[in-house]
Amino acid sequence: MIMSSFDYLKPSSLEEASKLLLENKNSRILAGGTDLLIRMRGGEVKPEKVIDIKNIAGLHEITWEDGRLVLGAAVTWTRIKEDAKIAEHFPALTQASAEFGCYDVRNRATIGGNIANAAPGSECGSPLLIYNADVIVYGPSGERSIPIDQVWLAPGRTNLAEGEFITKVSIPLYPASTKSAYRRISRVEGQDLATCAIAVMISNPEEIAAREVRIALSAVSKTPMRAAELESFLSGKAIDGETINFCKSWMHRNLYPRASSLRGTPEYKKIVLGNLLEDILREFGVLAGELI
Amino acid sequence: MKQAETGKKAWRNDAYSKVTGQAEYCDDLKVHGMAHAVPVYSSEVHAEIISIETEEARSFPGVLSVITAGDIPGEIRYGQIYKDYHMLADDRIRFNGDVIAIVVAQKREQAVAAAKLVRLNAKPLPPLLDPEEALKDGASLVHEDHIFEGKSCNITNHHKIRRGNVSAAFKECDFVIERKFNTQYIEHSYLEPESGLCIPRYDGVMEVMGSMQHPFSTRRFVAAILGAKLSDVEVRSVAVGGGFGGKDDTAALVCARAALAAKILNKPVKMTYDREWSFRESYKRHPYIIYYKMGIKNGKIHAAEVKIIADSGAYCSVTPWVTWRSTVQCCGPYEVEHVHCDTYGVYTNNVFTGAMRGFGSPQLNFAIEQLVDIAAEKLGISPVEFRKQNMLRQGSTTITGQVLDTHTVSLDQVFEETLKRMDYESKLAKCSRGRADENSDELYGTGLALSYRGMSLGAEGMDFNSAIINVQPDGSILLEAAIHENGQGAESAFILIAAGELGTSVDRIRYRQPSTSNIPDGGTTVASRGTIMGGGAVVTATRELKRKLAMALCCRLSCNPGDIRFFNDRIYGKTDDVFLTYEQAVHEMYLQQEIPYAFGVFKAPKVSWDEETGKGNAYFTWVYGCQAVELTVNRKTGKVKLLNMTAAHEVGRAINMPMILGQIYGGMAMGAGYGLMEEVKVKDGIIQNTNFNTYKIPRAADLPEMQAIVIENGDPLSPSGAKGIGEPANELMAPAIANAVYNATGIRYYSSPLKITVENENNNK
Repeated sequence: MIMSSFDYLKPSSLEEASKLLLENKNSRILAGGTDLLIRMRGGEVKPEKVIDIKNIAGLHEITWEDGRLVLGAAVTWTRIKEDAKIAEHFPALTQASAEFGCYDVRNRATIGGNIANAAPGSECGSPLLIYNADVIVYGPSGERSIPIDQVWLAPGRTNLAEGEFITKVSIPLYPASTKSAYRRISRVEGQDLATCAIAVMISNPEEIAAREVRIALSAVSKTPMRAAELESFLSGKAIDGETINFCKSWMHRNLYPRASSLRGTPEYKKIVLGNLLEDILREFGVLAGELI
Repeated sequence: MKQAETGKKAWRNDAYSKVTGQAEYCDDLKVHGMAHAVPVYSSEVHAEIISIETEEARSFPGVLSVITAGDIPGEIRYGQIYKDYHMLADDRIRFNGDVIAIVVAQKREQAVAAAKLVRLNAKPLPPLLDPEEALKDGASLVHEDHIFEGKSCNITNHHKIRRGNVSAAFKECDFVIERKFNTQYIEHSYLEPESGLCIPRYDGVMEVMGSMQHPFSTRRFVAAILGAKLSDVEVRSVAVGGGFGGKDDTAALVCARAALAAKILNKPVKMTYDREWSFRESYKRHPYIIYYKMGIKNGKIHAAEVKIIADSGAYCSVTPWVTWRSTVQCCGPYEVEHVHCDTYGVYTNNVFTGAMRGFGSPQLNFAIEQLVDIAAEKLGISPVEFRKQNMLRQGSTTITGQVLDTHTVSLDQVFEETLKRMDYESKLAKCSRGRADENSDELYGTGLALSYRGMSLGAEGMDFNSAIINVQPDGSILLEAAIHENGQGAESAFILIAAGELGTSVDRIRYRQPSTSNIPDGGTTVASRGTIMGGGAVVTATRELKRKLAMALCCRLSCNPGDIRFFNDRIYGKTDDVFLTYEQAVHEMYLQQEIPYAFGVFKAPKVSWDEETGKGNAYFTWVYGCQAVELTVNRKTGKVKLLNMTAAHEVGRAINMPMILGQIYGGMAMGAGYGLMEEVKVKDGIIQNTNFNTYKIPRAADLPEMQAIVIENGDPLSPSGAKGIGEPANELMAPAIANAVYNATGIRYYSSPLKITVENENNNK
């Protein structure tokens, strides 16, 4: 039961939506509603206005333009999961979509909503981070683009200004030789938040000197995070058992997951993320001795 | 022995309405003028109540009443064994789920909003949360007036077994294994949370409908709170969305509080619980601390010393009964010469604990079946061989001195069938034992567990049941038994049993919606006793009806009463060309002023128990089960993947095969949850996970292929031949998983759920 009363608004343009958002301090954007409605039911948020953006043209589109994939904010996770071209270019995103919620949640939940919800373990977090996605927002001063690593501030908090809301996610394409993957651990199969997750991308996997490694981690910090230090350590060098051990030890020294998590102890998360990283690198064939 | 054909078609009297969503559960019911009641909790875990301020809540729009303990006309305190439950908190808060007031409003939304305005002034007291601390002399008292064995303490009960001489026996042993086990709180996870609808009726009776497993227990709670006689309360059954043992105390309390509101306002009141309230307030499966010492001599379990501490939480509920079963079954299905067992139930300020599917056996089996594997390994023999050397067989004597000779002891059968179906021993040889293949991170393991289980209540309490069969003028038949339909298919089983006895089609028989004002109290629907006790009463009633029909119809059928036969939906004389339809038969009965009505009672055969020595024939019959599992453990992530779960259970005679299979599959699934993922997490006395987003139960995607083998050995002491399957199916998978995880990883886990650690490689400093 939702215990607070609210007005439901369904604007048909970006301008109108932004205006409503600006005029009503206590309002919330509704896309899929899979997070918002639960929080309203729990009484954690009590918006006076709920602004549904699903009636705005363009927010449902998946387009490929100028070397970029552009996902409308209201694109559902089911559509991402079932898109063969996304799977070809952004396998980490597709793998994340397959872990996302369950059938019925994926049918409603959107990519924009998942970003806006700003959960530390959000499914979109690590994949969008390794792909250097840009989040396009619309607000009183028009459209602007925010790099994904500047979007999240803390659990539930984003960098969006008053009257702004997410309209699109834009992701640059990478050369065909680029490899990327996403792995997550959950307590049960499906419909559970990630205990922890990792996404890894390697460009130029076959040319060691030109190799660039990107690593993002979820559910170990206040927001999904890039592991910059690990990335520069791994980039441009041959990866062997010793390098892997350094990475594992880095996880132990540098990660501070909160101890109060119901899903996994800090120790477990740190060990498992190291193991998952090793797994992915082995699968990419970049562990020394296997490829070179 | 017969391995039953499992491909039979399902039959249920309620299938169509439940599949199509037409079945009405309590919260679906609406009555004109009905008000809504909700509970009010406090943030306290343990506190002395100074005052409860209700003024602000009373003035909230739509609020009809705010009720506190002072408004109760009858008894404030009630309970199944001890009257220790304060139906509304009056003196103290004893756990975080204590209800301090009820808010009643025209709309549920108004009641929920107003509930937040009730204020509690209380003096917090230090909570007592550790059951071992609570056992100590000088511990603060959860119930100051509670006396056990002559002294004020937190002990709810102490059961004992004194068999042979344990201390001498341990000295004779080749080796002794000593381990401590811990098990967790489990939520029943019934689909439908608690709900009650109470209607003050024109004839002065308080009519109650609700989601419950025992209408008569609900009636006692309602009568107590109202200060009414049992005959002043009528509890009627509606469709129930599951119980798993969890729809007794709390379900009855919800109805009692709704009845209190209905009485005060003199109007119908419904009280339906949110999932969060249900998690917070309803009783759980007991967490156990088990200290176990097992001595082995010449390949036999020679001695066992067991100390069990069960956290009863703030109230006793049925802790003495739950822990009694743990005591009787504390050595598993094995012959042990020397046994010393002490089992304590103890009050704390945690959520209270009570009946849950398994009722004291899942905790013990988790310990015993691992110890048996440990012993076998120490002996250097296979766990299969070790079990064969020790297990109960026809004519064996149990640890309470009961000789198993009145029924077929089918432990070896369920064991052999499981081994055969799984090709178990060759799989056992393939287990990884901590070493994965070069190319794989998956460690393979298989494990199994065995159990025997006393049927029905045993020496726990009075055990009898009744049934009424009433043939109507058109030949249709109304049947009822004093067992409750919780969703498990009890009504369908009784119709099938009656149809079998009477030789009629199931379509002729309709199950009468039960009411406490119609049939005598037959005890609660627990202990896997529905089919054996209710079915026994149905058989007795149908036999009595057949006797009456035979006496009245023998002249018309030109034969002796003893020649009359019931089959083919008709009543036959000596030859197949002489018969009456049921319509004709009833007409004939009425002409003779005979009523085709019968009442049947089944009383459980005699059982016995000595509280001081733990000797006796604890249960009048037993069932036997074996469950096995294959799984892999990923050594890099600790994730367990179940590959196959197989069960063999002896059920007496099978009545409704697909329902038996459903119980077995569901039982294995719940057992997997017990072993691997389910846990009510309590921090400082407050439950942290109060819905299924944080309390994880196994889902279809978590479960593997399941196979069920059903063994039929009709039981001579059960009139229908049937025994039970509800709980046996739920008491074995967790230890089977623990054994399989050991065989995969080489690591033993002594706490449930298993929290698999991952390999911490040397360089991870």
